[in-house]
Order: sequence, then C-alpha cells, then structure tokens
Amino acid sequence: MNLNELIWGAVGFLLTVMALSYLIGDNFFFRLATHLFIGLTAGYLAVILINQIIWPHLVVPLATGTWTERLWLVIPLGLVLLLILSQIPKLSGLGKVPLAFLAGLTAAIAIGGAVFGTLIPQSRVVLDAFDPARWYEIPGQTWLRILDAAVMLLGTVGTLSYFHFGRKFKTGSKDEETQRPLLLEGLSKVGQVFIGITLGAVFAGIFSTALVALIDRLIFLGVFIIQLTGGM
Amino acid sequence: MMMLVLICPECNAHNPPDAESCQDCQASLAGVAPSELPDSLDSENEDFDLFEPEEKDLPDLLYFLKQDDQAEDEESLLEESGASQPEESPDQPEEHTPEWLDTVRKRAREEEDSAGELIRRVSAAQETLAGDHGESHHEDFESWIQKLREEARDKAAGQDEASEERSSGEGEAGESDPEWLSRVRKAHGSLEPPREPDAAGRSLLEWLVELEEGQEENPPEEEDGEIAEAEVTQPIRTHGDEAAGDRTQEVRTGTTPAKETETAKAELVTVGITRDEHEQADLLATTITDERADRPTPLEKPKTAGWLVRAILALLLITGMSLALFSGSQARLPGGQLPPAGQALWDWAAELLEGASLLLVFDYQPGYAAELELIAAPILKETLAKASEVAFVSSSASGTLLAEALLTEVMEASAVPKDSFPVENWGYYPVGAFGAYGIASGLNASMQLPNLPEPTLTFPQRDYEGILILSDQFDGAQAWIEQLTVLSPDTPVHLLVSAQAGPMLMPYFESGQVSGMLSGVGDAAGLESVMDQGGVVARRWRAYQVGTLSLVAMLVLGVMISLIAQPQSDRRGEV
Repeated sequence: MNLNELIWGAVGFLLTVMALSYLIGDNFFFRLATHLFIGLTAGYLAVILINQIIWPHLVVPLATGTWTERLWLVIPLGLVLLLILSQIPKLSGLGKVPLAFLAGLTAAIAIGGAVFGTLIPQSRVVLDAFDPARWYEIPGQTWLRILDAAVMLLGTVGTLSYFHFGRKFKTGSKDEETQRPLLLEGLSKVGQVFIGITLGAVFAGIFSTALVALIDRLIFLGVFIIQLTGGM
Repeated sequence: MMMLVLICPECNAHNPPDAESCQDCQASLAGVAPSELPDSLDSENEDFDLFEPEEKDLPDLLYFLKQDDQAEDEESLLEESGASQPEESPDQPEEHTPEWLDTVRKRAREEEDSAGELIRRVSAAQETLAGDHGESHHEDFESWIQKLREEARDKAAGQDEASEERSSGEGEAGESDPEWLSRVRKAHGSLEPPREPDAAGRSLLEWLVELEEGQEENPPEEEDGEIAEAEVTQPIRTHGDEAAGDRTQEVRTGTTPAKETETAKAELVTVGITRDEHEQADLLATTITDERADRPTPLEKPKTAGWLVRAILALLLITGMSLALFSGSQARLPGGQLPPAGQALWDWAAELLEGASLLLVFDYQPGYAAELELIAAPILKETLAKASEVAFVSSSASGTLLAEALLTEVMEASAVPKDSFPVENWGYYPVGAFGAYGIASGLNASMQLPNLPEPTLTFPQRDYEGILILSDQFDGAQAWIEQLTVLSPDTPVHLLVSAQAGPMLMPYFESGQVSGMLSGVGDAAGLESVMDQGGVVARRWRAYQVGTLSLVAMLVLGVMISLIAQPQSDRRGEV
C-alpha cells in the first residue's frame, strides 16, 4: 500500500465509519459526513454540466462551428438567456418561455413513451395470455396457463379498480354517495391484495440492495484494516 | 349700519354685491337681488346668534337650522308671554332678520312638505360628511362634536342632582319641539331623543350629533320594542379593571341606551359585539382553560436504552456479517438454475458473435455500484471478449466515472487489452428520457432529419447487437426501455438492475420488450453458479444470508417486544 492509497483509504475508512455511526443515532459525525457528500455531489455535478454539456455542446460549436450550426444554437442560447434573466424579479416572467418549452417537451416524450412503450404492450400481454394457442403450447401446462391468464387479468382489473374514484350514479342514501359501485368495490379489494404483494416485493428489493451496500462497506473496512496491519 | 350682499339661491352663502358667481358653490348669481345685512358680525351676534365661537365652523345648513330652531323657540316664548310684550315686538326680529331667512321661515310655515326638504338637506349633509373625511370643515365638525360629547359627559357626571329638579320641565321642553323635527326623527327611524336631565337645554345640533352616531351604531328599533336576539346587551368586566373596582366596560348594541355605571366617575367604553363574536370568545376562553388544565404527564422513557439497544444490535449484525465475509471456510453458491430472464441474458451473452458492437447505459448512483458490479461483471466479461466496439452513455452525473471504473476492472479481470477496441463516451444526459429519445432516434435511420444541429448528429447511428441498461431505479430504466423499444424495436435490450428495481421491471421481460434481465445479488450468485466459476459473489452471498436472517430475527423480535410492551403501557395509561 503506497502513501496515496493509504491517505485515500483512511479518508474512505473514516467517512464510512462516520456514516455507519447513524446506527446508534443521529450525531455530529454522521451530519459531517452527510454534508460533505452533499457538497461534493453538488460541486461535481456543476463541473460535469459545464464540462460535458455547456462546453462541448454550446461554447465550442459557437466558437468553431459553421454558420448553420451557430444559427441552430441561437435557439438554446436564447432560452438559456431568458432563464437567466428570469432571476431578476422584474423580469421573472421571461422564465416561463424556456420552462414551458421544457415542460412541454418532457410531457410529449414521457406520454409518448408511456403509451407506446408501456400501456399498449402491457395490455397486449394480458390479451395474449388468453390466446388458446398459447394455452396448448406446452403439453401438461394448459390449466396452469389458463390460471396464469386469469390471475393476470384479475390483478390488472383489480388494480385499476382500486384507483377508480367514481361513485354510484343512483344513490339511495347519503352514505352511498361516497361509495363506489358494488362491482368496483369488490374488484378494488382484490386489487389491494395485488398492490400489497407488489409493494412487499419492492420493499424486499430495497432491503436486499441496502444489505448488499452494507456488505460492500464492510468488505472495504475489513480489507483496509487487514492491509493496514500487514495481513495482505 | 346695513350692507348689501348677494345671497346664493343654492347654498345661501353671502357674496359681495358685485360677484357674478357664488364663492362657495360657484352657482350663478345672475338675477339675484342684493339683500341688506348688518354691517358687522358683532351686531348680528348681539341680536340672535347664540353660538360659541368654536361653533362657527359648523356647516351652513346646521348653522341655519340651529338659528331657525332658536328663533322659533323665541317666538313661542313671546307668544306665551302674551301682552307683556309690546305689540311691535313680533315685528322687531323682522327688522333684524335678513330677507333670505324670512323666506325660509315663510316657506316652512306655508308648505307642509318643508320638513321633508330639510330632511333631504340633512341627509345630504351627512353623506357629505361621511364621504369626505379629508376636508378641513369636516375635521372641524368632528372636533366640535367631540367637544359636545365631553361637555355632555361633564354635565351628566356633575349635575345629577340638578337633573332631577329639571326633570319636571322636560315634558314642556319636549312639547316645544317643532313639528318638522318630529318628522325628521320619524323619517330616520329614530326614537325620540333621550329625555336626559338636560334635554330641555339641548340644542338641535346636539340632537343631530346623536342622530349621526345613532345611524352608525344603532339600527332602528323594531316596532314592538323588542331588541333583536343578536343585540343583547352584555356587560363585560375585564380582569384589569376588576382591580380598579369601579371601572366597567359596557357592551352596548342595538338601540339600548347606555347604562349609568355604579359610580359617577365610571368611564363608559362602548364595544360592538355580535353573537358569533361572543361564541368565538367563549371558544377561545374554553381553549385557554383547557390548555392550562392539568394533564397526566407521559412517563419519560430512559433515553439511553434506545441507542444502546441499537448499538448492540448493529454490533451483532456487523460481527456476524464480518465473520461470514472473512472467515476461512469455503462459501457455497446457491444451486439450481437461473430465472428465465437471467437465463435469457446469459444465453444472449454466450451466443454473441465476434466483432459485436455494444451500447452500455449507465443509470445508477455510486451507492449501488457494488451490487451492479456484482451483476454486470460476469456479463461484461463474456461480452467484451467478443466485442469490437463499445459505446456508453450515462443519465446519472457520475455515470462516466462509474463506466470507466467498471470497464477498467472488467478488462483487467478478463485480460482484454484496453486498446483492443474503441470505447466511445456519448456523454451525460441530465434527463434520462431526453437521452433515451435522442439515442433511440439516432438508432433509427428513418428518423434522421436533414440540417439538424451538430449535437443531435453525435448520436450513434449504427446497429448495435445489444443494449445493456445498468440501472438502480425503476423510473430510470423504464424511461430508457420505453424509448428504445419503441423507436428501435429491432435492437435487443437487456437489463442489469438492482434488486429494488427488478420486480417492477419484470413485466417488460414478460411482454418481450426486454430480452433478458438480471437483478440483485441473488441473480448474481445464481449466474456465478451457472458459470461454475469461483468469484467474489460466494462470500458476499453468505454474508447476505447472514444479514438477512439477522434482520428478519430483529424484525420478529421487535414486533414481539412491541406486542408485549403495548398492553402493559395501556394498563399504565401511558400516552
């Protein structure tokens, strides 16, 4: 272990211990490590944005590009200037233009992706599950395929019903004004089960990921100590 | 000595004989005959002006009303005196009365509706006063009213005994009120002026002052005399004044007259209060009382127990995992097969042709690097050995550093020379969806438009044998999947994701949008088992199992303790 590795290893060791000290409660060392990470992240992000976006995609083309490229860059440059000028209180309205452009573009891309990349393909999967040709594709698993399709359909309809916030068209009493139709109410109960299972799986995944991160830090600490004591 | 003046027909103001328009209202004085008036105000005051000097700033209307009132009183007194007065005496005032005043009096006697005209003028004057607070004459009027109030209070406080003696004459004074005055009172919906001890001596001006105050504070009383329920008079005695003993605050609403306080020195403070305000005040008082009430204080739990328990549990967890990691015994990997998604990815990597081009998407944070390196390293070792071209793009700020570190580590581990193939960096995209859209558009040659700016032309415009998305979050991976699978459906997309993103991304594999997927340390251990290679995953897998069992045991223990402790705390009544 050379001096460089020793210094940075010691810094990493101390910061890891300071972060792990949260196990016994919030304390000064944990906050110090947290603030240090946040500050470093912010500074690093600023450098990355300048170095990888503003400089290569705006400054360099403006300085060395052709006139066509420069004319194209007038659009983002103008939007950037409007966003900067909006920081002046009297000119705050100017920021609406770039923000509207950004919001509209994001919405267009996100909605297009959600519809054509998620909604339609996933709906098609549910429908394809009821294709009889697929039921008999593997001999001996026909009923399993049918059950799989039924559960998938039930889960989809139940989950969608859970997020249905309508009410009955005709209500007999005042209590029924806040109730969903009986069919949707029953399906929403089924949907709760599927949502619960999904959230449980997500929690297990988060737990697993956190545990792996802890294992990695323990390995780092152990290896550093072993190297420091000359064990390796 | 007499002097000639022009009396304005609109406002009755006096103007010089040569004036063409009124100095006050600017009305035209054309055709107005000059009138004779005494030369000095002194002579006028000696005859019939009984105003105090402070009252000179009274608006003209009130000024003349008072003069009119007093003049009529004098006439009635003269009539009552009968023969004691010389016959010429009724004509005596006529000699000193200006012509305009005679006109007003004559009109008041002849026209039955003359009182109505006065009402309108009174109303107009009040509206003018209410709407024009900035004018100086109104300020003077206010100061004059204030003085009248103070005088009335002084008189009320200091002349109690005298008032009783004069009370017998009040009836006569009330009867002496002119008829038009009664009409004014009736038209304003007001009661008769209060018969106070000095009512007989009160002038019309004082009554007008009270009338003005009554319109602001006192709504008309109902005919049956009952006061509305919301206008009940409620005396309120404040805490601070209770110490003084004789100071009383009286809440007066409606037309209820002010009560006399117990002592003559009492100071009346009028506070308008409605029922809603009273209820709010009661609610506030109740709240304050409730806040000050004694409550059972929660038992303080020992603060040291919490962190001590956590420290012991953390020490046990770390010790157990460290032993699993650094003990010398052989670690075993889980047997069996990979899940279908993992197996599909491994099969794709194993069957990848030589000279393939790959695109890597780095969409994870440094905190998840350990887990993703466990998953990605075996796949990258297999694919980089066959690749001839590799490009990477990142949608996380540290993606470039993570990519360089991972690729360097894999190349060193697989003995692939660094310069054996070019590694291109397509940059960092702060918004993952934008980067995904741009990359996917670049992959689809039919979407290329002419004359696009230079940055968009830097997107890879070639066919890749596969795209590997390394992501730690569901949202980030989903954005890439949605754009890439729609805009470039022929390019196989594979996922190398963390355990927390895996369950949510599984439907994309079921739908065929994603060709293969590995998630979490479990899949990494299974992959290493399939590869039959002793690697770094085995010990981690053992520590992972120890950690999972420890945490599950802690969760169960915590639930049991809370279930046991809860009934005891309920029995003790802890909050």
